Amino acid sequence: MNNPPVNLTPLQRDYAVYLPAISSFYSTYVAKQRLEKFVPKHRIPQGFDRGIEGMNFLNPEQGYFTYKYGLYSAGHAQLDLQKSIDQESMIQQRDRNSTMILGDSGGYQIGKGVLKFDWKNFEGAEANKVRQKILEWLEATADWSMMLDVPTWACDHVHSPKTGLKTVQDCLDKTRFNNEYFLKNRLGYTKWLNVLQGWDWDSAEDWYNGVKEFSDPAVWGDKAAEGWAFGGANMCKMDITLKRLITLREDGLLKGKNWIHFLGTAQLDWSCYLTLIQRQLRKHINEEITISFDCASPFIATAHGLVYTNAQHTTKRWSVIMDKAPDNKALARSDIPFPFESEIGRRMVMGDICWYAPGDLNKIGKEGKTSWDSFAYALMMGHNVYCHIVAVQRAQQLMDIEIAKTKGKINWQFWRKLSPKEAGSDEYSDWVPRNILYFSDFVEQLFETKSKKEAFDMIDRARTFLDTLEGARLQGGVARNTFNTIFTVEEVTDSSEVNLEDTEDPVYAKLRESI
Amino acid sequence: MKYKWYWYNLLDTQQINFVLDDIESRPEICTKEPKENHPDFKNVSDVKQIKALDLDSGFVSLFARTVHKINRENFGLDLYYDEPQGFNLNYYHSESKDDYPFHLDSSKPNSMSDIKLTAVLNLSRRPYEGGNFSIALSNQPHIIEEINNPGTLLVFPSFYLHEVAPVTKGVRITMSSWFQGPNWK
Repeated sequence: MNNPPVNLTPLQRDYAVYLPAISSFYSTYVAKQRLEKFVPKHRIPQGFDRGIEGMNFLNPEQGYFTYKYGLYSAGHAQLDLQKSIDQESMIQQRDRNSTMILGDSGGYQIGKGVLKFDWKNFEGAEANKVRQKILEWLEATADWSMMLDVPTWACDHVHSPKTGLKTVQDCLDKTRFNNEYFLKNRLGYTKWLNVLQGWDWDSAEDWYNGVKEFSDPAVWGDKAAEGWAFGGANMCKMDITLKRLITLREDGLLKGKNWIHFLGTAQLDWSCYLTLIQRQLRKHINEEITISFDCASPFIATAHGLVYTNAQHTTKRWSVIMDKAPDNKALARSDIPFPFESEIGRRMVMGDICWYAPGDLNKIGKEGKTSWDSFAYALMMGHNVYCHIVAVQRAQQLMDIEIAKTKGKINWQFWRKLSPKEAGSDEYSDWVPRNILYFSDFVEQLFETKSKKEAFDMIDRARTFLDTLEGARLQGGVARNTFNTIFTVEEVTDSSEVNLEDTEDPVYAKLRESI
Repeated sequence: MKYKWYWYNLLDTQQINFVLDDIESRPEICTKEPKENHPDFKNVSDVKQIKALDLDSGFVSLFARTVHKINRENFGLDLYYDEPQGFNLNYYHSESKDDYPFHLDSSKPNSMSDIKLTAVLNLSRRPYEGGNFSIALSNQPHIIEEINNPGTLLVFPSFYLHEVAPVTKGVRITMSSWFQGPNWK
């Protein structure tokens, strides 16, 4: 088999862009194999005609599938640029003309303590050293980058003892300091996104008012941030998302801002909502603007032994689905084809995943319970990320089909909350949930409004409807940020609360030790 | 086939106001139905006829889709899968004790299709008294209370004898339409 790459990028059309939050564990395999025979030949699946490099979806010639977009975080990166060039060559040595990487500044990992930071002397030399390293890494690595925000959860009772932050205002003040530092020291190789946080509308509004100057050319000239990143309530509470966008429209801060990133959402319905919003922004405000969103679910799922099986696109279920992957030593050397469809999966047999046979010793010289070696995790990540991209694109395609069919026949004013008994009684389509179709009409009308008041009134009128669209998570929430919660998840509606690079995650810690 | 009637809570107050505000802001879309159409009835309601094309297409679609769904799940009648061409907007005023005595809905003689289902949607903005809707079953009127709730859509076979009792207080507003299919056999 020597099939050309399956290129998923053209299927993006004018859809909001899903950015796989690429795990450093995954990129390391691609990078190390370029330098040495890190994975021995007999361990590489026989179907891998282009070897490990075929797993590199940023490589338009060699990838088994290719997709030009990704997110990579400074929070788990090799910040020493000399080392990063080799160790993260999947990212650093990509063709910059045919790929796009959004760099995350690693605020999450700093808040969690994964990335060491001198919280006691926030403006001191040690802290500045970290800031500068992150800034230089982002300038060298990413096309677009997020400024180093201090998320609002950094002041909650769990994180406050470490960060010393007590209030949202503390987080905002520290973020302002970081923003100033980044803009003053920016080099011009990457474009910057101004990060918006907040628990609710009031705190999100305070945050916005506190940081909007960093996007204002009247204040910062050509150093002003070129885009926005929506975090906290801005990225998952639809009424707040829309009010924020309208506010940006009215403040003139979407003109010339060509990228808006939504931090961490794996929900297929949001990929549709964001596409519909993007179209209205392009139509009415800035035809160059792109909306993206990221999640690390394909990578996190793998760390917990889950495989993407299929995705459900029906009105009853609209989500990617993952199940416990086969892990059994009886399947070692098995030539049974890997049963789940992807450009990675179709090149594998079960023996490629279930590598260890009974009696085989792992890299630390012990016989473990699992049949998976660490490379099996990388293979599964490749399969999972393909499935996630395709599931998102299929959702967006189906949405467009149903919108074309129902054009002019749906008025959001007739949306109503259904009782459990009435569930399914107001569907227009066999495929696409009604909320997406109603939202299409709503958002079209919303961006026709001529004033902030008119738009806000419309959003308030539709509050019950918009509340039902709420995203699955607020970033960094305390209760959900537990390993056990994720471990039991069968269906991804949630994403990167547990970061695969988090050394506190026992599964990943074990993986890192073995590589 | 077991005929019956089915109701569905279709609209909330805000949506009722949206529909009525839209219609009342464009009086030119309404044609008053002549009282002569009902020579046998003395106090028949004030009826306005509206073309479906002049109504909000989202509303028409929702109305039609719901009726077809009710048919699919409960009646199984052979209907043309069309949206209705027109609607009647009925205002029953208590001052004139408007009512609509027992009658059935049918197509004109020799028509190539038959009216099979009648759909009535309560669009009353405010509470009213009287105006109970009844269907005659075994020569006994059976009051269907549920249609008195604003926003409720009632669907029943058009050949059922049905009536609206006089309204004694307030204004009862309903919108009705009829769904056709091939001739009864």
